[in-house]
Amino acid sequence: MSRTPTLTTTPAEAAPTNAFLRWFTPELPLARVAMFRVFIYLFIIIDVLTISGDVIAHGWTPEFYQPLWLARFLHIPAVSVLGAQLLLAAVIVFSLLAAAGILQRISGWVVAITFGLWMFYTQGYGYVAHDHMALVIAALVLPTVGVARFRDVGTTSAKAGWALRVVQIAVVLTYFYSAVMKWIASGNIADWGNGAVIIWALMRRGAEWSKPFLEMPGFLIAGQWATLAFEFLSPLALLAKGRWLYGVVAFFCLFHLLTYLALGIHFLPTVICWAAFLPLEKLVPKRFTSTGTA
Amino acid sequence: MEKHKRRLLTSQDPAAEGPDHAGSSGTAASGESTSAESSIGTTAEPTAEPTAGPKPRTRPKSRTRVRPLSKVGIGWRLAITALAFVILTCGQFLNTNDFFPLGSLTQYATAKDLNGTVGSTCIAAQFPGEDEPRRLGFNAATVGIERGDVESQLDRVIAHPELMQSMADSYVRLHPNEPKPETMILCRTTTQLKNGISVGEPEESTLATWEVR
Repeated sequence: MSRTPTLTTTPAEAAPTNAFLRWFTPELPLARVAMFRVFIYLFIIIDVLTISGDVIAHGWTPEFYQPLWLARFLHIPAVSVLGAQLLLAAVIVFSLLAAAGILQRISGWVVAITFGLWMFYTQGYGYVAHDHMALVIAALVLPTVGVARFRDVGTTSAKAGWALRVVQIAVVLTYFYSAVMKWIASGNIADWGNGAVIIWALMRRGAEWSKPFLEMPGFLIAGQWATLAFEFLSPLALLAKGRWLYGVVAFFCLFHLLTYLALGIHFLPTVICWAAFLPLEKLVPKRFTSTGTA
Repeated sequence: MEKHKRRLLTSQDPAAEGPDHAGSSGTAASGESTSAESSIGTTAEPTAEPTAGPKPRTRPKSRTRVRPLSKVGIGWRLAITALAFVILTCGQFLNTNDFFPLGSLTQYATAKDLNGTVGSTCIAAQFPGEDEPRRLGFNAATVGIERGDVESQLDRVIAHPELMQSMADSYVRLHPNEPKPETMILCRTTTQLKNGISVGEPEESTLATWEVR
């Protein structure tokens, strides 16, 4: 039985009067969440098998375990190889259930816990990557939506709106705060923009095709300023609509494609979360929708 | 009369019934049009509401039902979002990753000097019967841990080279058909830059060694 409040009969009843709350908890179709869950949970399976697949190997190197704050607080020990394999199985099984919309609340929360634990074991060995922030937050907030079915194209929910809004905020803050951090870490943002970070990255892990750019430091410095510009402007994505929004999403996806081809840095865990900005319910075949007309 | 209308509407829409729609009582337009929510027909159709006559079961073409949030629901969502935002913001200024996933976004954040050096940590191993140490892939699939993980605790590894024993053990377990390394060598290549362009050959130095047990 859903604990959702009674459906309302008028827009005035449904929407908060406060403009910020209307933005913060927009009424969005539950079908959008159902589709977004497919994206997220299937990607989590890909993630644990590839991008963050080092957890099983970490079972061999417990001496390098540097538990993060929550892991220390909860006294989570270093992972063993068997423990990692069991955890992997749990993440995959419950992600499949959650993506399919089976036992939605239970499967969603189990994924949130097991995938969160998996993250502690991939990030807790020294290096903490920040490309997983939005994905982890998506795994945490999606179960709060409750039941959301593909056929719910015509049913909107503020719970769905909040969850997707939080993921959107996490996505843009990944960029915005990385620009802020560049300012903090460098002292003077011009030092970062005029420095040799991309040169440094290309020399350490650049693809062969990108090596000739090492002879063009001016071009790479221009790339650094461009990066700073769109990272600082990324919160505008929260306000963009229509074609502009599609353009912003496409731009960031292309940027990550370029960094992948040049440096092998794909940022896919964040890229997948850009889907939270899109009207995914359009992908639901009409025969699965409530009325068949949506 | 209003009650009567609602009952009729409920009976018109099978999707409003069932376990996931318990308590549903009618239709509404959201009235909300934010960034990406313009895709569905959110306009309620008042004309679809039957007023009288023998055709009350005619189904409207499309309709939006709205599930609002309670004040408590809005409250805890606001509170938890604000708390996460504060932690994330503090994480930046304290420059700590400890609050993952709300840590500092430090990747590639440090400025590099166009006339400085580019350093890269490497791992090599001396195998029996080989004249020179051989460079190994510095990743989890080869030595059980990624280069970035070791670089993040480089001082600790240099101070405690016995940590490299687990890298040797991992190598043996992950490569059962390869010979066991005799010595693990943590090394670093350093390339000098001048105006952003590398000059000369990279210099290699040894940071730590460990005789494998």
